[in-house]
Amino acid sequence: MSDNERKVNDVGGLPGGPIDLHEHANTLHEKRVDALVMLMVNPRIGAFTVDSLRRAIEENTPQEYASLGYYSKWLKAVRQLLVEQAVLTEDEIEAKMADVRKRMEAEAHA
Amino acid sequence: MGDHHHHDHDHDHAPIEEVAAAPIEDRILETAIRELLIEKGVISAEDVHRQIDIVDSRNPALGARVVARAWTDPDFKERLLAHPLKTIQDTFGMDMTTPLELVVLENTPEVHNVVVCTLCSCYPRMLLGIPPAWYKAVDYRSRVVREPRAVLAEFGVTLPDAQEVRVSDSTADLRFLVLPARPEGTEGWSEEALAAIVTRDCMIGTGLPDPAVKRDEAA
Amino acid sequence: MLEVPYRYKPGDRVRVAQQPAERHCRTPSYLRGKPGVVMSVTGAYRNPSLLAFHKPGLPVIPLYRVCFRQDDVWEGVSGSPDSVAADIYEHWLLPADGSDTGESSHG
Repeated sequence: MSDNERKVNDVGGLPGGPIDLHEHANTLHEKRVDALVMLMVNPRIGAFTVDSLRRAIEENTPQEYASLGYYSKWLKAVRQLLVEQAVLTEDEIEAKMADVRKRMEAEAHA
Repeated sequence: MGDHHHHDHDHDHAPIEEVAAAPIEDRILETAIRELLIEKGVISAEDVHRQIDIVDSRNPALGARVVARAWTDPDFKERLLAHPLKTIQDTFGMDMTTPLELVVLENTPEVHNVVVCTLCSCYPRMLLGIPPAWYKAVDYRSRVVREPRAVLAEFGVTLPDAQEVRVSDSTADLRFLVLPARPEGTEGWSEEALAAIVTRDCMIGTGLPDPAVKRDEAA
Repeated sequence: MLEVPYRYKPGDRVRVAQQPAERHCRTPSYLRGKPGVVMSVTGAYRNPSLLAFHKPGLPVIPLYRVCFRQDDVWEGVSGSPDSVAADIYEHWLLPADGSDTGESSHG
């Protein structure tokens, strides 16, 4: 098969480097991203499916897939899917982010 | 449960360490989305706390209890292999409701099982919690299906040539837990002592239970 | 297990289709076109390539656990005792005898 059929996530059998065995405890931020995803895919809320999360991650360019962290990719996908599903709008997200940014800067200088 | 010290391997697993803080833009975006979802009544702040507690309660110590019980109770093992999630829920009281199926892969002298998800990061989270970083990283996912023995060697695991290494790629709706073989030298051990030598990696297939670990700790 | 027609049974020799991947696809490229043996029939599940686009994913598709010899998967590997097992949806499987080219649109 030609390489252009291989999606960014489809890495089985490709050459790779040594396994990085460093362990780290998940940070609160990572746990929150994880919790957001698990809640959104929970049928009780059902904002989107696990399958759509994977699809959104697979839509990253090879450069994005390689350079973004695991939870950055998840978060980017959550944003995209919530907008696709009309749960949130881009305008709402941008406005709230501006809010949060101001608050964080104020806390940093407090 | 921390990683055990593998004294007879030619390397040590690196100590647990904090990674660099998440990008500030990610923290802003996560906070914004979370607050918007709460304002709109899609979720509550309690939902987030409860979900984090649930994930924290699923960790390799739970899987280790399941393995130790299977080693000491043949009837439990038979039920575990036949109906994994129901048996775990009935025996240990954890809510195992999930649309996914769990498959328990028993290691034998003929077959050693290893688990991967080459396409993303599927993992028996309902039992083991969040997968380790290496499990989610491209190097493990790309290589272990092609050169399983070379990858296992990096984990300090060397297997006899006659034993088949079977790598299960979690491509769909099944999740896999490896049931390691009970090592020799553990005759008469309590279930608790046995659980203490069942590391997370043993249940992914990238580790083997090492009875020397327990003896060291007792010494 | 859901009562749907299952085309294959444990022990059947199959081959993974060499067909265009769906926009979201759970059949890894390294197994496409490779021969294997059905280990177990694992049930029937909603179609992930439809679920990925906010569709219900129905009808459900039978799913099989299929074992592949390393020798059959990788060029340049021979005499390996090792194997790869993966879960493959029925519309990606063909009988190993080659009587079906996989060009049909079933599934």
